[in-house]
Formats: sequence, structure tokens, C-alpha cells
Amino acid sequence: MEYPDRTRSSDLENGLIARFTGGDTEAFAGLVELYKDRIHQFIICILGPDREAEDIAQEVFIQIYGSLGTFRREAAFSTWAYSLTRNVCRRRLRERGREAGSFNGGAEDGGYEPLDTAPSIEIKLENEETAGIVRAAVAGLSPLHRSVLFLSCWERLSYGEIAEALDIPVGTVRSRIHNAMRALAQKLEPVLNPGTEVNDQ
Amino acid sequence: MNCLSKEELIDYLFGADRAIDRAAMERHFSACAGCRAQMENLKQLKAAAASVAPEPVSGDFTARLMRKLKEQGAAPEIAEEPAPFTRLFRPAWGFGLAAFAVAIFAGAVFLTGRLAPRSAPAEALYFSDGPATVNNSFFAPEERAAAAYAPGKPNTGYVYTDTCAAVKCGVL
Repeated sequence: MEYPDRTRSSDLENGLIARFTGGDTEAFAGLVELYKDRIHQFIICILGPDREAEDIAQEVFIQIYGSLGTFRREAAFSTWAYSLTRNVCRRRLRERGREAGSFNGGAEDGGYEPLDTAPSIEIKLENEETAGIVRAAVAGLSPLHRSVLFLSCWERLSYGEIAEALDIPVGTVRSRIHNAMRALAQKLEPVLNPGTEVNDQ
Repeated sequence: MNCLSKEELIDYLFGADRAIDRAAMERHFSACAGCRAQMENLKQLKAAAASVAPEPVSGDFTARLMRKLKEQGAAPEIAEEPAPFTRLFRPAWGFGLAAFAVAIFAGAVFLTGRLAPRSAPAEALYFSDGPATVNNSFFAPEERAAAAYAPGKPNTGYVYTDTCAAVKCGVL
């Protein structure tokens, strides 16, 4: 899967939303095609590998179907959809009796932890094996870190948009991204540069 | 410019919304190998995170979903698009305007005394030697009702005397 071209994708989704709100419910299938993998991935970011992730994605889309007509476009559709997904996941976590707070943030929201990526991280992403290691490293991050990295690195949402999708202050988004980068550096460095150590300042 | 902090480097890399002097930072990168190296490392990390493509759903995901929506008879809630003029007003203003209109209407009713248009005046034929007055007017009971006449209330009918039988000569 390639990076979403946000301009092209935005034009397409706006057209589909307009058709849907105009009464063409079949246009919804096009919107699902655009977002199904991304919503699914965001669910995995929050819940971790989960065999119900696809069912939850279906539940999210059913909710989107029911309330898209009232979507006011004050935010981007993606932000709105991710915000709705987050709510569905939180409800699932509550139903399962897990601590929903594990996703809502914790002590780390208070500030930054030192990041040191020096001296050098050489990541050859074209290598199949390395790609698997990177995927495993990202999967090994906390739900908070996975979520902000997905929204910022893959979806390329701005800090403000991420704040809206996750319902957290922009300052918290900054500190989460910072800490997520630090955690990822720690996970990748021993594998890719066995001779170097991460130096926590 | 001093060397950049990790926070500043990450804000630069992720295009933070807050104001950062990107031009000044870029000038610093060109002069400082240390910050340049830090930025390269961060870029590598970001590229690594971005290389993790979303986990695809199964091939029949959309078809199953659309079937489910059909089976459930789910109907999207469609919001009425307000007319451009009404977008300027909040609902509370509408209530205020309605209350104001009701008050104006009530005031008008109060001032004019009654709502309904006056009924066409009934006419009665009266024979008398003298001029027609309330006191000497005579109506049969059914004529009185028809004329909506009652002592002390203005008569809405016309009264003809024998002196002016052929013409209207007065409204009491």
C-alpha cells in the first residue's frame, strides 16, 4: 500500500461524501474502500493485534454510515473518522474490562523524555528483513506511541488534527510524538547498530 | 543560533503547527554538522515508522459491510442543509423573533379591540313619527337578533323612519 495522496484522496472523498449526503448510499462503498485499511490499522494501533479488529472496523463504518449525513465538515473527514474509531475502541476496551486509561495517556503526558539517536541509525528500508524488524519494533510500542506515529507518519496529520482525533491537547501530541520517536529509536538501534547504545540524557 | 533542541528538531520534522523559524533552522543546519546529523537520524526514524503500511482487511470487507447495512435496513441520518440566510441565525434567535412577532400581534389585537371583520350591518324597517333613536327603535325579537342590537350597545343596523322610508337616514 502506498502513501495516501492527501489532495487527490481529499477530492475523491469530498465527492463521495457529497453523493452520499445527496441520497446516493452506494457512494458509501467508495468511502469504505478509501479508508478500510487505514481504520483497521488505527484499531490495531490502539488495541494491538486483535482478531476482532476487522469486526470493530465494520462497527466503525456502520457508525460512520449512520452519522455521516450530519458530518459538518468543520474538521477533515479523516480526523472525524479517526475520532469516531477511537471512541469505538475505547468502548470495546471498557466492555472487555481493560483499563481504558491505558490508551488515554498517563504519566508521560507531563513532558518529554530525553531522546538521543546519536551517533547514527542506518536503516535500509528496502531490505525485506529490515522491513519486518521495523514493523515488529513499531508493533512493540505502546498503543499511545503507535497511534501518534501512525497518524503523524503515515496519515501525515498535523499536530492539531491529531489532537482533535485523539481528543488531547496539542502539547500532549508533541510530547507523545517525541517519546514515541525515542522509544522507536531504542527498539531499532540494538538491532540495526549492535555496536552502539542509546544514550538517555 | 545555538544548536537545536530535540523538541525543535522534531517540531521541524513533523511540521508542528506552532510558529518555528524554519528559515533560521535551515541556515543553522547548513552550518552545524551535529544538528544536521541529528536531523538525518530523526528523518530515518520517521521514514521507518512511515514504512509500516496499514494491515489490509480481507478482500470481501466492503461487500460484507454493505450487505450488513442492507440487512439492518440502516438509514443514514441526513441533516437538512439550512438555507444560506438561515445559517446566519442561531435557533435561539428564531425563538426570540417568534416571541416578538407574537407580542406585536397581541398588541395589535388589543389596540383594535377585535379580530374578526365586522359583520355586514343588518337593516331593519322602523316606522315612527319622530327621528330614529335607540329608545324608540323597535325590532321584533328575531330582527333584534339579526341586527345584533342590544340596549347600551351601538346598533350596527340602519333604522328607517316613516319620514325617510325610502332612504337611509341614520345609524344608531
